[in-house]
Amino acid sequence: MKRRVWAAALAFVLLAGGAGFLPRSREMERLKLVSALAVDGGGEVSVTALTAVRASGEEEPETFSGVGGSLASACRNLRESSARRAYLGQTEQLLLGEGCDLEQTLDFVLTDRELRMDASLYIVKGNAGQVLQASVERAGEETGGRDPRGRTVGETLARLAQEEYALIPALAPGGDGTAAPAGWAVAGPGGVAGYLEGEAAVGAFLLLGGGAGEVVTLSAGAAEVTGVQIGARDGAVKCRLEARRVQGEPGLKELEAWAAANLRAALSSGWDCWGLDRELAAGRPWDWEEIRGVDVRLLDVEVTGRWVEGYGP
Amino acid sequence: MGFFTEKRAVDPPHPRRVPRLEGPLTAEALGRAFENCVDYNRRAVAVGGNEALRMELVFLAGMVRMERVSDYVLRPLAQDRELGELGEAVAWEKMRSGALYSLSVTEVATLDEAVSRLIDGDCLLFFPGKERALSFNVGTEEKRSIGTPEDEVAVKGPKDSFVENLRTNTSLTRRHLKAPELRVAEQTVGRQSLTPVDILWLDGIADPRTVEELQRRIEAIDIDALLATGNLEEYIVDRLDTPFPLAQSTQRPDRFCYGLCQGRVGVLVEGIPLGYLVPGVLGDFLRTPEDRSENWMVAASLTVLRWVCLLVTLFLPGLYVAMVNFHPEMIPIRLALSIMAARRDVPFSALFETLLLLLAFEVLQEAGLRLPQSIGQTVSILGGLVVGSAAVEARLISPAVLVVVAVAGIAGYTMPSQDLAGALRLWRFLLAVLAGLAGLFGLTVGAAALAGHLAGLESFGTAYLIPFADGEPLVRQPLPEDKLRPAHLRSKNRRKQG
Repeated sequence: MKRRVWAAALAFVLLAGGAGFLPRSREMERLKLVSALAVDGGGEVSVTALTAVRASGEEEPETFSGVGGSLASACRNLRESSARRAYLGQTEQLLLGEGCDLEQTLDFVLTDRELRMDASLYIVKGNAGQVLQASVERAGEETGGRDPRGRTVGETLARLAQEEYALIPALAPGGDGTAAPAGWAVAGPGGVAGYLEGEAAVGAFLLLGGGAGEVVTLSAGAAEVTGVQIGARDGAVKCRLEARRVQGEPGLKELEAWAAANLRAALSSGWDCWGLDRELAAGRPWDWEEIRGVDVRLLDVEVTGRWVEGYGP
Repeated sequence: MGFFTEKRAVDPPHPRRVPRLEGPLTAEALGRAFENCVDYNRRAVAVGGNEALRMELVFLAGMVRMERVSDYVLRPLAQDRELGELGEAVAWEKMRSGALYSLSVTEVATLDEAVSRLIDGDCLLFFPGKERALSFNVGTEEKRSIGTPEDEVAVKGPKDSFVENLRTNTSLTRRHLKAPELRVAEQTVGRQSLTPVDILWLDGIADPRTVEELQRRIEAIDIDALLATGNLEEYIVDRLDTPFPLAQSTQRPDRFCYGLCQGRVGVLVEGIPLGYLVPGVLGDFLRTPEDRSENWMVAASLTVLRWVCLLVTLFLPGLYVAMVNFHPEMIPIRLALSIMAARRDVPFSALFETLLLLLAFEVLQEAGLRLPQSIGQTVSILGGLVVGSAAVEARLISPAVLVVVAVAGIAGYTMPSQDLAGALRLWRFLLAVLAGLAGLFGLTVGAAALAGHLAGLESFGTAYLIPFADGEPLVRQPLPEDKLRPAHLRSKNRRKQG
C-alpha cells in the first residue's frame, strides 16, 4: 500500500513538472541581475535597466532598454533583449520619469512575479532612462547602497490605497546628466500632485522623522541633528529635536527656529503626506470625522530642542 | 517481487532442535560432539593415585586458564590420597561439595548443558559409568582492558568505556549504580553464536511494560549469530522503514547508567562494546553526557546550537539549490553577484554540482573511516584540500557550493549520535533533489514529509518527537530544578531528587 502511495506521489510530481505546475528553474549565471529600472511613459512605454556588478569585479555595468505599448510588454522586450535574460527580482531602485503613469506602474510592480515591493521608488524630473544611462559609471561603485530618504513601492502603495498623499524622493538630472536629489514629489490618488523643494523639502524630511546627521549652519556656529521625534496633538505639530554642537556655540533657540521654519514650509503646501490627521485623532478618536482630512496649513508648529553630548548619532 | 506487488511471504525457519544434542552425557558422547576440534582436550586422571578410580577431565584449550586446571583441579585430584580411597559415590559427593578448589561446581546431566559449560570456559569431570559430570569454573579472563570511550570523548567526566566482555560491562554498571534494585536478566540470542544478551533496568523506576516488551522482542530474535550491532538493533526497534535511530547506543557506562536512572531500559550484549537504551527519542540523540558536566547555561546554549546545526545540515544544500535555481531574489544582491561570478564558467547545474559534492563528501568520509588513521588523515587532506581547491580552480565546481556543502557537513559533525547524523545525511540528499525539482515548494514538501515521518515514529510506545509533543524542555535546566524523570518514560516513581 505504502509503495503505491509513493508511486502515485512520484507520478504526480513528474506530471506536475511536465505540465508546468511546478516552478521552473533558472541557472543564475545565465541571468543579468538588474539593480535599477527606469520607466518613462508617454505614447510608448520605455524601460531602461542597469545591471548590477560587483564593485571589485572586472565586469562593467551596462544599460539596456525595452520599448512596448504597455509596461508589461516593454518589460518583456527588455527581458528578452539579450542572450542572458534580464532578471528584475533584484531591482533595488525604480525610477519613474515625469510622464509615467504612477498608478499603473505601481500596479504592475504589485502583480509582476519578479519586481519587488521593497524596491526604492524615485520620481525623476525629466527622462528617467537618460538619467540612469548617465549614472552608469557611478552605479558600478554604488551597487547595493541604501538611500536614507528611500520610500519603497510597498510604503507608497499602502498610502495611496488609503487615498492619502505619499512622499517620493525626487531626482533631477545634474550637470553631468546624473541623478541629483531634487526634493520630494508628492504622489496623490491622481498621480504626482506636486513637489516640495528647498525649506519645504527639509521640513518634509523632518516630518518623516528623518534628518539625523544633517548639519545646520547657524549664526554662532553649526549643529548636527541627532534625533527628531514628531507628534501631532491638540491642533499642533510637536517636534522634539536633539542636536549636537559641532562648531562654535550655536544657540538652541536659533536651531528651534530653523526647524520650525522648515516644518511650516512643508505644511504650507497643504498636502498631508505624513498621516498627521490620524495622529491628531489618536488623542480624540470620537472626533475622527471632524479631524479627518484636516488642513495641515492651519496646524501650529512647536519645536523643543535639546543639546546632546557623546558620540551617538 | 515487483514494485506494485505485495511482499511475498518468506518461508518459515526450520524448527529448533531441542535438545540440540541427544543421548546420555558421557565423555565419549561429548567427544563425538567435538569431533575434529583440535582445541578439545581429554585427560584421564587416577584419583589420589588409585588406578581403580580413573576419571576423565575435559576442557577446551584457550577457553580455560591452564594454571587453574592444573593447580585447582588436577593437583588435588592426583595428590589427595584420601579421595582415592573413598568409594566412587562418596568421592563424587566430596568433590561436589568442595574437595576441589573452584569458585563454582555444578553438576550437569545433559549434553547440551555440558557443551555450553565447556564453551563458557568450564572443565568437566566425568566419573566412569556415570551419565553426569561435574563442571568447574576455570575460565580464562582474557579480554580487552577498560579504555577510554573513543567515539564519545569525555572531557569532564568518567573516562571508562564498555568493552566486549559482558560481565565486565555489567560490573561497570554495578559500580556506577550500587542499588540492589538494579535488575539484570539474561537471554541467549543466535542459533550458532549463542550470545548472551542482558537486559538491565532499575526496579521501581523503569516501566515494567517496556521491560516486558523488550524481553519479548529479544526472545523473538531467531538468527544464526549476534555478531554486529545491527543484529540486535534492527530486531528490537519498532520500525525498519526509517533511517532514524530508535534505540540509543553508548560506549559510556555513565551515560548508560544515567539512562537507567531516568527510567529507561538498557541492553548489553556479549562481544559488543556498547550499551543500548530504549526508548530512544529525537531529543536523546542531541544530548551528550557532557551536558550534565558543564555549566547549565553553556550546556543549554550548546544544545540549541546542535538543533540549529541539525537544521543547517539538513536544509542548507537544498536551500542553496532552491535559492540559486528558483528564487534568486531571496539572495542579497552582493551575495547573488558573488555566486554568479563564481558559477560563470562551471559546466554543471547547481543541483548536479551540489549532489556531486555531497556525494564526494560522503566518499571522502567513507574512505577516511575505513583506512588506518594515518592514511585516513592523508586521504582527507588530499580529498578535501588538494582535490577541492583544484576542482575550484579548474572551474569544475564553484566555491559557493563547496562552502555550502562543507558547512552542511561540518554542522552534521556536531551531532552527538552518528546514527542520527547518518539519517540526516540521507535526508539531506532527498531534500536537495526536491529543491532542485521545485525550489522552495519542493523543499517545503520535503520538510513536511520529514516532519510527518518523524511524527509517525515511535520507540517502545513513545512518540519520537516527544520533546515537542509533551512540553518537556529541549535544553538542560539547572540540575537542582530538574526534579522529575521524563513523563514519556512512564516511570512509577517520577521524582528523582528532593
